[in-house]
Amino acid sequence: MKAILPLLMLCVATATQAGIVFTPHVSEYGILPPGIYAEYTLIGTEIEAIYDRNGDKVQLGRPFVPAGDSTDAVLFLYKALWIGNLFRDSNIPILKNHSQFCRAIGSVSYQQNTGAIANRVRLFNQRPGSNGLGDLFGLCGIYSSELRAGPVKANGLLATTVKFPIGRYDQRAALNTGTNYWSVIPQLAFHSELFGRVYIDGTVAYQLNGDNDKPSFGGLTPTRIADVYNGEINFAWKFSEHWFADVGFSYRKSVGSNGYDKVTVNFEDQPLSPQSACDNTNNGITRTGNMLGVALGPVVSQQLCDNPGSDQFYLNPRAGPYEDNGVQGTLLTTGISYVYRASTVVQARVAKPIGGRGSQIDVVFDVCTREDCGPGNATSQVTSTLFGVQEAAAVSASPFFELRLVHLFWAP
Amino acid sequence: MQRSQHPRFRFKRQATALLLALAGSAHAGDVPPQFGRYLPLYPAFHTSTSLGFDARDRSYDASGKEQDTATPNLPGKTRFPEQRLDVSAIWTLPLFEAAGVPFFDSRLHTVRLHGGYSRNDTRGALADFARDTRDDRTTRANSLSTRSNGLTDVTMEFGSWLLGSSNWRERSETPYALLALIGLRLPTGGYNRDAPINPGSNTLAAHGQLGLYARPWPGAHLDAGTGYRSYYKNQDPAFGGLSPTNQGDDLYWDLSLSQRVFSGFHLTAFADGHKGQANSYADARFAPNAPAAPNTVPASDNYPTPGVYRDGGTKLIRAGLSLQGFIAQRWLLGLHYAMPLSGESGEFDLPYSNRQPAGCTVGSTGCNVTAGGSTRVHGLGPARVYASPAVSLTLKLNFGQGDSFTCTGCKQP
Amino acid sequence: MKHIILLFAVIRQRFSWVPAFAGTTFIVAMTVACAPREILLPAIGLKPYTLSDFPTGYTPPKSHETGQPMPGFGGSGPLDHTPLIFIHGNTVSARYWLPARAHFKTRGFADAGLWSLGYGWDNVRYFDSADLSVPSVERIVNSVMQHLSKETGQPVRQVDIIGHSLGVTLVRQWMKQTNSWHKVRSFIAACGANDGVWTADMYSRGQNRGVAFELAPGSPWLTQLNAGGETPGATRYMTLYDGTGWGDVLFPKPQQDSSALEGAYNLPYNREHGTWYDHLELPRKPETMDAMIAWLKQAPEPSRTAELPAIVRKGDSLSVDQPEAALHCATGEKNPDARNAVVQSLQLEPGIVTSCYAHNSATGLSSALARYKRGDKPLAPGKLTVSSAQMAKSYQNPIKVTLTASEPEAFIVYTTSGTPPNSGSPLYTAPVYVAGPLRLTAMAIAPDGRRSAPLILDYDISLELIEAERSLQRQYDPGTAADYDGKRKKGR
Repeated sequence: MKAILPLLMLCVATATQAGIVFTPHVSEYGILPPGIYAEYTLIGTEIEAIYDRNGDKVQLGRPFVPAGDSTDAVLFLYKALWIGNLFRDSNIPILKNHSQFCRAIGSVSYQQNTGAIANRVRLFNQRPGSNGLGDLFGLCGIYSSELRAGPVKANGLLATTVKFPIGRYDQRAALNTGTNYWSVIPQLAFHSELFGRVYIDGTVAYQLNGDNDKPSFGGLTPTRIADVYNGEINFAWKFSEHWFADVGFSYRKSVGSNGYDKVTVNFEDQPLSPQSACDNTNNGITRTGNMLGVALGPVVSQQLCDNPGSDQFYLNPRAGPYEDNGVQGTLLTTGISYVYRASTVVQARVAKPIGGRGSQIDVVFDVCTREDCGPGNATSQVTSTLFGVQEAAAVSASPFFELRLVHLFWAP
Repeated sequence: MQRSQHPRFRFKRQATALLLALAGSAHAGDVPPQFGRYLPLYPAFHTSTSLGFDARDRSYDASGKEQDTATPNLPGKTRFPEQRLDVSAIWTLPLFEAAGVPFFDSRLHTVRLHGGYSRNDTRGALADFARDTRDDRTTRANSLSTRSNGLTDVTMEFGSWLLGSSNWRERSETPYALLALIGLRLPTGGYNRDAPINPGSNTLAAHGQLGLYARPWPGAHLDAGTGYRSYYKNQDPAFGGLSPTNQGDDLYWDLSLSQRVFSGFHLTAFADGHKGQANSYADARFAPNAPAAPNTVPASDNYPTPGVYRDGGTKLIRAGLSLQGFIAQRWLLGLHYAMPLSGESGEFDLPYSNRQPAGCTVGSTGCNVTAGGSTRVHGLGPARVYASPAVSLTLKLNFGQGDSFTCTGCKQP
Repeated sequence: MKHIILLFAVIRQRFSWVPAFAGTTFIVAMTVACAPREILLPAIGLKPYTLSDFPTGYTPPKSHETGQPMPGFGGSGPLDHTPLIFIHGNTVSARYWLPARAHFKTRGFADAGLWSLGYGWDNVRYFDSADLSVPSVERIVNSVMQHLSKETGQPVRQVDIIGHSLGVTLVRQWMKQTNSWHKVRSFIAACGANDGVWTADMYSRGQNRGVAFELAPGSPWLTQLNAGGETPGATRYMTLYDGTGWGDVLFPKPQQDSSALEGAYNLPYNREHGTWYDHLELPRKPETMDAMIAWLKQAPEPSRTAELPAIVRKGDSLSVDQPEAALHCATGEKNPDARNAVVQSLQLEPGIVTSCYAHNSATGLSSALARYKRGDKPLAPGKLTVSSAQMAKSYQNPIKVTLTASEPEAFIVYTTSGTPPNSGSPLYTAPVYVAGPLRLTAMAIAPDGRRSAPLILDYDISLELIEAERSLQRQYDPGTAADYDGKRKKGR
């Protein structure tokens, strides 16, 4: 059992996470011509590995299911961007000379655990995937003046994003398209052009996260979500008016730890026999080893697993509170862009995680011989290290692909 | 000015049409094939909206026999009524114009996005089974749902008119055309894993299609298309795995002949259908019509024997009539009735294993497992082929060349 | 830093509702405010801000495009130099030139001598176009000259103009179509698409296609604009542009010299000075403005009191009515410019159209351009007329209009600006390219000086027509009558 649970808890780091707001593209933060821009983005990923709390890559589901299964996600984003100056010609200081912008981002997505991982999720009477509407992001901001120093041109911007938690959210799901908590994200960014052919966009942002009183997947999404700060930078090279290539770097890290206060995740079918627990735990892959010894503790021990047929028992997790060590992720991105006429940009990009740290907590399970299992009648406790799931907790170690189309309505 | 051209009158007609389209009482499952669907339209943006209802209270069994329930093998009647709103955004554009791409730079192309919203319900025998919590322990069919509403999947398509569009700037009439289309369906629609019927499919699908258009005589439109759709694995088949894990590839077709009957009004006879290859089901977790466990002491229970099972595939042919009329030159309103003519649903035999004592952990000492009986299971989701008629109301709108750019600051005196 | 973050976290913990409330309020407020100001502000009873910094007594003319008074600025007080009018580029307005106004004042330009008015829509969703805006420029220049003449008590007959981007080709088209070269002492063309711009495309669609038809590299419109010489008349020309192909994204290689004009003082500023100014920066940087000012000040101030020189025709001979003045002439399609040989009199050649203007170097004044033809063949009897092969109506796409005079020996002049043609109007040598809504006015002039009645043709290259002809119903039922009322929608 102990080990049991851990594993199942994979998660989707990518999908509808606030981080998508902070992956800069070519001229993302430049003072673009006024107008209304429409952007369609398709993101796909097959998460076969995630980062644990030590920063090591873990194959999804290992060692409890064979490697090869994954969390699949498809995210379809629509972004509308307005750039202009509401206050032009007025006498309002600063505003009259600095353009403003607002952006709305909506999404629909598909997130699904595959194969044996999905089967394991079901052992906990949880749903292995989620589909539908994602959260809504709204942001507004203002550009700085443009600075020129020889071949260098630069501008900054100040913006604030609000994530409205309107996305589909199911407390019984291991994955959700919505997050069920608010985020407010102040952001500073800059855009720079060098020699007319190198474009640099960068940003730092601080994501203030609200609480989630209704955690999903048996409480393995945090209830107290740590704030996150983001840093991103993107370098693009202009080959011609029509072709660009870019390389980007992204870093995000939580400030402090995520808190888990409502852990309830447990096997649906109880009582459990030691044999079934051992099998469920390692799926016959690792019958021995440190994991069992460390995670199972004295009650469900290696000896117990090696001598099946003992009494059956019940498990019940203690709700918490638990704290993880925070999360962190580093991404490298690279892509190419094609400008069609003067109105449309098509971009293909791949993002590759190069480091990270995911959320894990040591959940205490009471072990009882009675169904109404709890601290009062527990014969012992075991500690199981569980992965936190979904965007606030899990950090993908697998690449994602992005296809993006931007259209400026008024251009010919 | 003629009355029909008066802006106020035109607006009223358009508003009335919109209200009708949104009224909610109308109905249908799949969007019926509309005339001119393979005609290369002049570059512009169009939307097509369909509102439909299908009672889905009749179905075909695997042998093609029509049944008065949606799940024939379950005692009692079941129906899955659906109200569905489909919205398509359709661009026609000379994408590679002046780009020097041989052949394609002179053709018209199309980009299409499809989505919508669906309200599904399960009523009758299967709903009773889903709601019955007394048997959850023995059937493992707990936490089931009878309703799943939400957005439908998003489908993206790209197509090129290989024939009939090269002179699009000059031509006033297109005698024939051939459209080649490829598409991808993203499984972003709402999907309740515990419901028998869902708005979304939870399955990525790709398709290729050919569409032929011809104008055989004045006022007539002939559209014929065929396509092949391939499905990826559904990692989380709904309702305990009674929906296919691997949906069989589909060969589908549609045909319509339309004739203008009087000014601006077209009567269309259409037929469409599909032939789906065998669906497979992996590790179904229960069946509503499970065989009884043997009466033993100590007590036994049973459970579906893990494995992959296949049905015999699906088939549907339906025909229908449409009456569509232009309420303005850029607004086409239509009423459609589609009646299934024949079909076959996916069914498979699900073997059960007996376990003694009841509830024991399989593989543990003292837990005896023996082969049990089997039951005929009706596949759900895409394996169901309904025999109920469908009605739908459609509205097609042709946006102008600059409608996306309404001028708000350009008041002439 | 760690302590700051910790403190921040504590505050946030205590007041966790504040960020969500404040952020949402901000986003909602901004989102509401993002509704186009032309909708939002009137909806709450406010008039959108408009730049209107004009002196008392000056009423800005109405824009030809919008029908509204043009926004902009102008000054008052003493005037000791030729007035300078700034003409902005596409989709912006006179506010673009506010920094230039301030800088020019610091360099001694009089407040009363600096003007800019906004033509076009001043709305990024609606591209302006040269042909659409020529009448507005005509109104701008005339209104400024009239106002200053009245204010100073002396006639103002010349202005200097600095144009930027679309403003360059627009001013050139205005000078050509209205035969106004003699009104412009110096013209500075900054970042103009004189040989086209890569963002314009002959295949453009939608309501912004007009300017794309005009400025696409190699377009018939540019061919017409540049026909007869790129720097006609007595006007002094200077161009200011990037030249590197990297500074101004609108003019990458190999179009880095698209802005240059043959016969002008061409200053590819970035290329020559190693700077990297972009399209919008180039005419508004102190050093580039100083370069323009230095060039402007090289020109002598024209007399405010002298008479304009005039060309006198006696038989087949041309001369000037002022002894200090001289003729600048060219033959055929070519328009004369300052580089043409200066002559006191000229004998017309048979069968060739000769175009001349008179310029008095002492007063700095010029006459309007005029065209003459020597008649050696007998003229056909009857009334002199001009006709067109293309009906005056709406078309879906640009057309070429063929003009024919009833008298083969006559030559034809025309305008596309809505103004009546005179002999110095563009000489018809090839079918006229019509890319937008305009009034084509043509007139035949016989060698003996007889003139036909103007032929007035109103053309429209209309999206409304496309929409009507290509409506859904008409594509399904081609026999259906097109629902087209001949009107243009706003902003097109």
